[in-house]
Amino acid sequence: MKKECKDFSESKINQYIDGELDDEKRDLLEQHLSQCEYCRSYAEDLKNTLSFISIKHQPEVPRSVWNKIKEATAEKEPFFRLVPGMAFVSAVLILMIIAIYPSYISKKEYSNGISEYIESEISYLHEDTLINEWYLQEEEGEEINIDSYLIEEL
Amino acid sequence: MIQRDIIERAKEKDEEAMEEIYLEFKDFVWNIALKTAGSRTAAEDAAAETFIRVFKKIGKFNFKSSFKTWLYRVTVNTTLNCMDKERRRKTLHLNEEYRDIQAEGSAPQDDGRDNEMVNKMLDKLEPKERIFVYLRDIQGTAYNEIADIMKMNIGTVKTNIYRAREKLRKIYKEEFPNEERM
Repeated sequence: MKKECKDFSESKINQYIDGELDDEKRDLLEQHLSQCEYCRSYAEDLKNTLSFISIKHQPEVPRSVWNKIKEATAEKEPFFRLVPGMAFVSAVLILMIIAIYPSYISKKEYSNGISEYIESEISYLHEDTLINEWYLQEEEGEEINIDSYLIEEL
Repeated sequence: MIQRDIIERAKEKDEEAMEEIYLEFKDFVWNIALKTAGSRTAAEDAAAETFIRVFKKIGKFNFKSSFKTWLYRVTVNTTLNCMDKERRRKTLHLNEEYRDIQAEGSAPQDDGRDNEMVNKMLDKLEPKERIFVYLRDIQGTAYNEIADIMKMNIGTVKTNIYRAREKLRKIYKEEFPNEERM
């Protein structure tokens, strides 16, 4: 097993492989690599790995990729661009009508209902006063005319 | 290198200009997508999605950076997003994932033992690490450009790349233990 080097620097070896060291630093490192088995072995392993993975193979791009792009970026016809907008405006108008119409209807119906109710109560009470067997008790001998009394109250 | 007038025409949704941009960058985008995606289907979606975004956002491109850098950035972001979505989908459909991998293999294309091995090695890295390695060691992109693409400083980029390389070095040694050394 190779003895680890106290001067080992992963960063420096990477920079060396990338060609980023200036002349002086490169020469120093190369001198070290010639004498240090650990660092030399590390540098060689790294170079071989990077050479291996940089195989210049260009896999063919499938046609389906371009088809998907075309489909997504196709310009819609002007009419079809308007349709979503028109549909939205129509929907809003319909909703507004639905919201307003019932309250309009019920208001009318409500006032009609009230009139009918009042009329029916009036006629009911009027009939009531005309029932012959219902008399108020005499006060001081007076017989009170119910018909006129109740109708006046109404 | 893509000409400025092509970009200007692409901004106007000129189909020919868009196709020129696609032809110029399709190999790069496809390679990134293929090397980071979990399956060929996912790679196709990621690659297509990248260009769709490029053509959607091209109107905002203001020539402050190079078009190539900008497109590379969109590629990286889109691919990583697609990877996240794919990973979430696959955690819910583990059986599908298994079938996907079995059918596609970790090597989406079946040509050459070496390419298969390269893909197998890259598969053992995290998606972001694969992108770093692809940009630097396969595509040969300069560090400062990678820093621009990934929106990181150069020091961080280098640290990430050195770390990914170290992982690959160990994987390579495991795969080729009898490799002759000088």
